[in-house]
Amino acid sequence: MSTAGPVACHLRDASDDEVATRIAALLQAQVPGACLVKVDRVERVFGGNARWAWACEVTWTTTQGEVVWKPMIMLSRVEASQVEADPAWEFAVLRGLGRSAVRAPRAVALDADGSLVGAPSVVLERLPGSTDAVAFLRSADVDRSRRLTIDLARAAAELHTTDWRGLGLEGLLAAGNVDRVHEAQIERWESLFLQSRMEPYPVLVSLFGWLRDNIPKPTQISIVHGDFRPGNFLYHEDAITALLDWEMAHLGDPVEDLAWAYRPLWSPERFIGIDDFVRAYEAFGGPPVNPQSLRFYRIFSEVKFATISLKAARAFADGTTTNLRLADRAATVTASLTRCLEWIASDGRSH
Amino acid sequence: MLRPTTGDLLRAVHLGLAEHVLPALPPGVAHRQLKAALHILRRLERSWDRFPAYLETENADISETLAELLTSVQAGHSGRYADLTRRLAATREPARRSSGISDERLAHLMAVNFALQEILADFDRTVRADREIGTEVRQTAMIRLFELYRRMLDRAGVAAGTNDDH
Repeated sequence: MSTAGPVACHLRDASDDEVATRIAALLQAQVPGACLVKVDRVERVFGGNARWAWACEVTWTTTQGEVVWKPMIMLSRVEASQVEADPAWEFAVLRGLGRSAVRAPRAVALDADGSLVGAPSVVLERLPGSTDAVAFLRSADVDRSRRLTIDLARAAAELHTTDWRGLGLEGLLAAGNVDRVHEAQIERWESLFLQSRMEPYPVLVSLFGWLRDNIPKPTQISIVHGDFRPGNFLYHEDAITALLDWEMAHLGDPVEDLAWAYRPLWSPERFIGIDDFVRAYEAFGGPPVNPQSLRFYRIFSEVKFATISLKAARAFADGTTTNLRLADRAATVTASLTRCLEWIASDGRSH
Repeated sequence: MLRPTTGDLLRAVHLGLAEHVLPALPPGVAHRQLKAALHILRRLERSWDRFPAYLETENADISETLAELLTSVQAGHSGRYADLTRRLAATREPARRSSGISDERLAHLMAVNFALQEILADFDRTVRADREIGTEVRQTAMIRLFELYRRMLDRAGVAAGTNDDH
């Protein structure tokens, strides 16, 4: 148990007790009417390659004397990773989604510059469930995993039919003209590719050209999660309890999320094929999916993954991260690009 | 001195770490770091000796294909591709040298490959945007490029030892 105190060192080097002290200080400063904030049972949990995560339990007393207890999680950007995201931006997006039916965790507090916690961080309510993608994908209980996958289709349909204008998210999620947000995604990832590459990669240059030449017009513009896959949702019993990791959320073509969810590395194809998943998604009210769009976004997904891999490899080469899971990510690019060429060839067009 | 080869050493290091160090580490950051390191060691063990031959073949294929492609698009249209043709001819003696490579021949092969990749990327962009050459010429060029890319990816997967991973 700890209470508020000053930041003495970088979060990376802080003990669990020190982390508890810092979370308490942040919540004390930002939760309206919260007194006597106490943070207990702090535990570092694996939060993926992008961020460090600490689970904890928080109690505080309200001005009316009521004692509140909540499990929470703090996500912190401790070192460079594949995808850079602004915690203040993610916090604002989650605050907006908190006013909708989208299954997203409630954002509680933000330390945008890390001055209170020691690294840029957000504190979120911790919902029940597991994020374990390996346990989900390798589960022996195929019927349950199938039910979860169908619920994932429902969660996608809920997200993609959310009124983003009504939530006031247009300014946050669209970098420019809403009518061309889908095109802006190609520009965004091409720009990141050009910044990250350590050699010219002509095949990837060509694939970005192919994407620009073949981009389909979206059926509708939706909130796109941007990293919609096993590992980024919480599941509990037969339900998806929350979609997590909103760092890559944007407005765009909703088919992008469906294609990303079925990338071979993490695809739930074993439980339900992509065509049945799409049918379930449409039955839950998701926008109609054109097969050509799905194929396009499967190619886009591989190009995006290849770009993320090159960014990861560059971060390791530059010494901005020592995470060995990122060190050899460039070696995965060949497989992604090979899939792209196969999908393009399957349509009988090479350009 | 032929033995132990680099591959022999990588295999032995992998075995020693996997059998004696990994089981002794509790779950956590150190455990994940070692598992990632072991994965890299396995890949290097099966691919360490393929790189020079891969580059030789790769450079010859890109160079030859580019020369043919440049000839085909320039048949009815000159100027736009002249700089690429000049740069292709200059790749025999590339200006840049790859840093961190002590072997002169390997450094040369890498520098040539880098220069060829640049020309290939620029050629792809140029052909894709060129509305002055005929549709048939452009389509034929794109098909040839596509075939080259498939060969490049096949070779890269074998050279890096990743073809068995997927």
